[in-house]
Amino acid sequence: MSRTEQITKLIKSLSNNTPDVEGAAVIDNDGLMIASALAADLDEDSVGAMSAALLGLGERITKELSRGEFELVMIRGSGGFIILTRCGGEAVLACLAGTGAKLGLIFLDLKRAANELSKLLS
Amino acid sequence: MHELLTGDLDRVALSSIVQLMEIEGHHGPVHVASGQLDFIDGRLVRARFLDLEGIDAAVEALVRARGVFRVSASSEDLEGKAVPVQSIVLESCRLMDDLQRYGSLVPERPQQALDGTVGRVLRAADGERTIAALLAHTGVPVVHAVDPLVDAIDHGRIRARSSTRLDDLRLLDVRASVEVHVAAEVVAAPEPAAPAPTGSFDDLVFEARRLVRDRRFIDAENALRTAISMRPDSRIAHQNLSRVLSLKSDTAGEPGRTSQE
Repeated sequence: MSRTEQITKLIKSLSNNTPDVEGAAVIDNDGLMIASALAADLDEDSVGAMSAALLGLGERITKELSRGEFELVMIRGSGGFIILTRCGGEAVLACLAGTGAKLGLIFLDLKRAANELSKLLS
Repeated sequence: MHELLTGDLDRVALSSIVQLMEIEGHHGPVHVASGQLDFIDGRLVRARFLDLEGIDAAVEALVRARGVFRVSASSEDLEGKAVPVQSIVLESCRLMDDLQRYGSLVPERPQQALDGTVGRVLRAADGERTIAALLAHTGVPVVHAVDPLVDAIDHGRIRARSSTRLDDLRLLDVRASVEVHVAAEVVAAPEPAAPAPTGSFDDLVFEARRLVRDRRFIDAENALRTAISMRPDSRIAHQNLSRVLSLKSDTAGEPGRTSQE
């Protein structure tokens, strides 16, 4: 199995096994898609570019406001959540979740997935 | 350089065009008959109209240019100090107001007392033709003539006989007698060819990401195109190619890097 296939399998597993996770994608720091398990109606180009920009901003804010190491960015909309977390130095794991999502469980699964992705990407 | 917009200054004022260029952050020239206004990121940095250059040329063009205009996009790097567009628009409106306020001229005192520019206009004054007609006849720029003429009127050296109708200002028209000149196309230097990338589809997609990190967009594009030729249905490869092309165009002004460096 190729590396891309392993990464895709991992994020599909995250989407399928974590309740209320509606999609996930791994994007590099420049906004290039590494693997995606997002809904077909989502513009993946935009997801990639915006995730990279948001992650950069989140990291900058964390640093500027002396909040230690960056962990994640979460955005809440009326239709659900967007959560971004780092997986290695060069990539970000983006996760889309529904309004009723159990955030504690999602954070836990995201952290595990990010650790595995980090190893695959290194 | 490619043409973005063209039209007739009888239907849209040049002052509106330059304000649009400023708001839109336009980069490139606006061509009119007998002149050109150059913008960098919405800043007016160079103007040429008739024999004038700089602010005078920009104001004169706003007052007098008629006929066809063309807006082109260009990646050409232009040097120049930015000229405030709003000031130029206001100045051109003021000149047109003054031109309209004072009509035909009657010399009241010996013309020797007047300086050369005004003297040229007054030597042609016959008490019938309007200032606009005299300026069109003598070729004296509006920006050089109006203030001295108004000053002379205020000091009683000349008398304005009647006001000018707005239509009379059309006598100042500078229209293209031939097709307006469009500057030669600015062609970017051809990018050096990079060696054809090799490896599996997966390797090429990963390699493209590494190349983007190194800002080697041309090589990244080649790697992704090769990957797509292996798997034309790969959505990720297509998306990444689109992203690379977008990044490449965003940094088009910066020096490019290839594997040959």
